[in-house]
Amino acid sequence: MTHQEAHQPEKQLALEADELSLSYGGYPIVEGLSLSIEVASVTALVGPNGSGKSTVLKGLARMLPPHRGAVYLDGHVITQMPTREVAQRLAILPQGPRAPEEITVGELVEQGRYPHVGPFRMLEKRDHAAIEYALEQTQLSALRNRPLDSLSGGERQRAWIALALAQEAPLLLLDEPTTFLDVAHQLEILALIRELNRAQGMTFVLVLHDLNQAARYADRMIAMHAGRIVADGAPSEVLSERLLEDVFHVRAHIMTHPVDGTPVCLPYEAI
Amino acid sequence: MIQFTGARRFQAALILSIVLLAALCILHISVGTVQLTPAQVIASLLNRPVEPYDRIIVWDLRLPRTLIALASGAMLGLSGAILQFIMRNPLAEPDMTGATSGAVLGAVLWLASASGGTGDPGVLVPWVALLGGLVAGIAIYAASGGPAGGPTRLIMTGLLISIMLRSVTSMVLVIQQQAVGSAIGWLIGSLNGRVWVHWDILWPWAAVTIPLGLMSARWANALQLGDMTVKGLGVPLGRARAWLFFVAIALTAGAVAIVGGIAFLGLIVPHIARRIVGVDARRVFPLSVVLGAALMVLADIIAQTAIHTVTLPVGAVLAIFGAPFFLYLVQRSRA
Amino acid sequence: MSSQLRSPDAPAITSPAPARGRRLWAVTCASAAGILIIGILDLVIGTPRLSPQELWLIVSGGGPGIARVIVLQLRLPRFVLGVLAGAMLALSGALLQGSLRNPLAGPELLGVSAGATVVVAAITILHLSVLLVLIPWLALAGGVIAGIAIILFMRQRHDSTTLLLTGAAMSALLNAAVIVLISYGSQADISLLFLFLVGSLANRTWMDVQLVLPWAIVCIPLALSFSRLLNIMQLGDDVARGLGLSLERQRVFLLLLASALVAAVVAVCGPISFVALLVPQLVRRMLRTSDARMVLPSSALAGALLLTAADLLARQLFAPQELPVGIFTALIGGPALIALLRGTHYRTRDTV
Repeated sequence: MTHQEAHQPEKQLALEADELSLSYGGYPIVEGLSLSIEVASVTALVGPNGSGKSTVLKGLARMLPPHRGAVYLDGHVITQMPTREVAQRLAILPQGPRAPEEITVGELVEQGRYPHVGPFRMLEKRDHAAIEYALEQTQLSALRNRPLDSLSGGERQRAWIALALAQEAPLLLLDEPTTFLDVAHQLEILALIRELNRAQGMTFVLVLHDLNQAARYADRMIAMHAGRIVADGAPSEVLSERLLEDVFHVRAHIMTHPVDGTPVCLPYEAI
Repeated sequence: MIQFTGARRFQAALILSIVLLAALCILHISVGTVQLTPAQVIASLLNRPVEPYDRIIVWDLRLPRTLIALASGAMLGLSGAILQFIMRNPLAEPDMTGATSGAVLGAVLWLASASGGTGDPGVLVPWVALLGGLVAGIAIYAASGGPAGGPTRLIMTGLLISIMLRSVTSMVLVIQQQAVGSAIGWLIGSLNGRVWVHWDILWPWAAVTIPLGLMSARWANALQLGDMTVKGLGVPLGRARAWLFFVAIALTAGAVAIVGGIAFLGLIVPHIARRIVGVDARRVFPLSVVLGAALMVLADIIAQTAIHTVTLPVGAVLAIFGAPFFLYLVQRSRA
Repeated sequence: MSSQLRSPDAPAITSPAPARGRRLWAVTCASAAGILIIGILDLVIGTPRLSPQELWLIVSGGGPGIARVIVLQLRLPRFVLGVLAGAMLALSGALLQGSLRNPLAGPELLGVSAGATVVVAAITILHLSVLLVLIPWLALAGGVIAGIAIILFMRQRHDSTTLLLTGAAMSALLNAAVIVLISYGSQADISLLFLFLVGSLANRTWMDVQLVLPWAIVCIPLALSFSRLLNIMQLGDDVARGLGLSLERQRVFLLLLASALVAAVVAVCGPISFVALLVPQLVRRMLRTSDARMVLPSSALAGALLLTAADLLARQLFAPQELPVGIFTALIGGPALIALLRGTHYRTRDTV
């Protein structure tokens, strides 16, 4: 599915950034960046270290207030919306999340109901139903009473995704969800994401380090370099030898995956 | 090229600081109930013909105080620098080793037991305080797991034990209330009443510990890197850290034993030094020595002149100026 | 479903949930029973020593006049104060440790205690004529100012060590202020103040209980109601914000609450150290969970138990000489905390 705004009926926008300028720690990272995320899409943000992709994700999630420009969630300025309301529509999974040692899967996922129940209200049937649903989708129902740190890396990450699912937010932003996992678990997580997108119509924005994973599991790739978007489109369009040279400073060979035909890049020399 | 400029800068800073220190010392000597002019001071020091009264004031009253301020400031400045290096944290300061609280407790215990007793408690107090500081420091090192502990545990143990020691100190003062009067000077740090007797105790200690600290600069540099890197360079991680820690304790205990629980000097001085000459311990350490001395002398000048007829304890002055500076530091530091 | 998610490789082991529930029950019952026992001992032991029958007599309305006064006007209020103070201090520590995600966040290490202390010290030494009822409020102001300064300055850095060192420096400053104040006081004031500085429950009467009680009645339930928020804060700043928590605001509020709990106690008993730091740690270890819904109430109970027990010891160990309870908590609590933390692995930047 190619991203051709001009030729297709106007798609619903989940998230929109308009002339966004973000700084982190006093340094300007992103200037005048605009992008829009369509509902039910899987978008991968890629780029070398320091390109600003995590910063953009944080900006989109209202974690980093912009000093210029705005982010619109369902048409409203996100920084002006009450934060709990945002949490009901948008969930974020940061990089390398940490939880207290002895917490169980069930206890973790339960926290995901906060945007709906607030600090004091008791959990009701629909809250428990949402928790159950989240555990089912991530196939963790049988593990709900296990302590989080007794699980494998993949299972743990699934638990965090279950936390986000319990929020019942249709839009999920993930910052490098696969970076610290074994290869099998990486694919597990990405497959889960693709499944949730396909079956539930959830919208995903992922920051990914691995270009091939991004090409395989996302509908759309946005490549960033020094705080700017340098490429935006379907993976087959974005993943090019030119991009790899200019942005990633490597010479690479692009081919199609023998199994499912997605673009694959094979870097062979640093420039 | 860059190194050349760095060395130049260091030399310039060092020379300027020494000049500043000398000027402050002269000023310090001239300040007091009998105001002397710098010319009179210099003349007395150089044994030129002056009023005999002036000579007595300079040599018997003021000079020891100045020298003690100088030496103790130097020791505390260096101690602070060492600690900031081995703790890898710019907010570390000598107080946190427990040496200060231990020395103060030692002093208070002695004052409490000797008050009303025979002998001149004033002379023996520093020795007991020194012992207290050393013992406390060693205890903290041991309690934090020794070489295996690491900087973080050292800091936490130090903080906890300092609280304990302060409680005990307060307790002692509850029981022996007559000691409170003399104890106050020790609790906050004061140069009042420090005379040649105290200098005689201080200077050998300073003469040994300060060079030891300066010599350890290379190890201090290495310890700035991660544990594994340090070991990979062949530096005996545990021993190096222990050695530097003990030198810091010795410096702190020695200074506190004579002037009392001074805070903030060991925190401020290394920061200023680092701003000027960068992060090389071989430069920061010597500059901290000189700046520490200068700051102490300056603080004592302020202590004597700020309020007209009253001499504040120098520790109070350092706290008043030190604390806002410290808060400013925290604000400026980045994660 | 096209994706093949890996099924769990081991059968679900006995869930910790029932085990945790059992542990919670055990801790709660033990604490409650302990408090009751200490209470009875507290009323009975001392000069004069009472027999259970005499105690029963007094409780039911009769008994010799002097004994009655001693029990009802001295020992009972002291015990009640111990229970309240212990609970409040422990809760304060639990709140701070939870919201700052730091095992060593405690009012004494963050300068909150020192802030409250310096205010009370100033009032005492300078003979400021302040309404008795206002003193806890002023102490609260002192504690909060110190604490907020710390939080503000912590905006940039988030590591434990910096937090502690900042707090330590703040405390150092405030302690210096106290000492300066002391040097202006009269001999009588000074000895009173040092006794205060150690922290004591001695000679506290119903008036003191009255002073603390409203604070306890308001703040303790309020603290307990924050369990869910504390749990979410445990998940990290980003996740907490992502879930819709206004993190800064909540932290400031929790700090205020923690300071309030401490201020009331400091105003009446002085800064009793290590209870706030130690009790939540112990409780977390015993219950083997960080779930605030369990840790908070258990900390309150355990704190009450530990403080009253420490006070009883302080009272009786060197009878007839009484020691202030603060010296006990310092000398026992300190090493206990150090020993407890020995086992903790510190995730510092260097150990990789």
